[in-house]
Amino acid sequence: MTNKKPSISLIDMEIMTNIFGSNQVVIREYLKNFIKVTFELLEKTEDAIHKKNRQLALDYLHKLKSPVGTIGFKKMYQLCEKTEEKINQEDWSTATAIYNDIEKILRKLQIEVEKEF
Amino acid sequence: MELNQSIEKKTPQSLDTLKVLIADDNEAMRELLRATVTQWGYHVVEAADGEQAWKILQQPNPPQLLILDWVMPKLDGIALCQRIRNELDSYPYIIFLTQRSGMTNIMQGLEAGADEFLLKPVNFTELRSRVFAGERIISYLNIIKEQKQELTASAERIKKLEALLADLRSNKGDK
Repeated sequence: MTNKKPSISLIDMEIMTNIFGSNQVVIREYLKNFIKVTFELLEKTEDAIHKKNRQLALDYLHKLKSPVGTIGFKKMYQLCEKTEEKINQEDWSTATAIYNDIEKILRKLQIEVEKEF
Repeated sequence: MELNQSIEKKTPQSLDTLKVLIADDNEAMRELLRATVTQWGYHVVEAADGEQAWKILQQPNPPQLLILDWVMPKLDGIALCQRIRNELDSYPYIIFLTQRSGMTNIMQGLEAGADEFLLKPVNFTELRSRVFAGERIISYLNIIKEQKQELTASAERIKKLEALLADLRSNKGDK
């Protein structure tokens, strides 16, 4: 990790600083754990979508959205909302396609975090 | 999406370290809340589900302010809230923090016994105001509780004195 202030384009770093202060190690550790927890939740969501279990999939998306929205991860938040919309319409194929985009955007964040910190 | 997240560092003055329980099954969410609420000067206790939260509330010196998620495994926020109001003698201040919006959900939360209903994503400025308001109410409740205990003790003393006085009077009458 360099002394340069990390710049993560996908989330609102001002929010992170407001919550965790300017200690970059704390922010990095939080983001690493956030990514881990979110991937685990995504797996469960994928399984629920695959089984076309509407309520369970919506509950998991609810869970995903809370920290995602709170840290200002707007792109992922919007994708979660779109997935919810498609699940409510029981459009499972589009929901699966959007779900794949959620996974991609989270991987992108993971790469940014690894690169910047 | 409301993202006004400015967090002013301010330590509440009325109570030293009020215990705040954060019950949310999403670890990433709990971590955000813990960091923020600790920064405001509170002592944070965490629960990953409603059942764990209920167990914490059974322990001595339990948290007096609760921030509860709605959807949780084992015991959800609504059931937990109802159990608290039905079975606990104390009155913890309850803030619901959930993704579930809409008047029906808000009414359900408040009718279950919550004092506040806030939506996720978290607006920390609003949450801080609600937590501080909750702290004020808790301090008033604590004052009322203390005064009630003092009144009960005083009433006991008066009863004893009256009994003594009656004894004295009857002794005097005997003479």
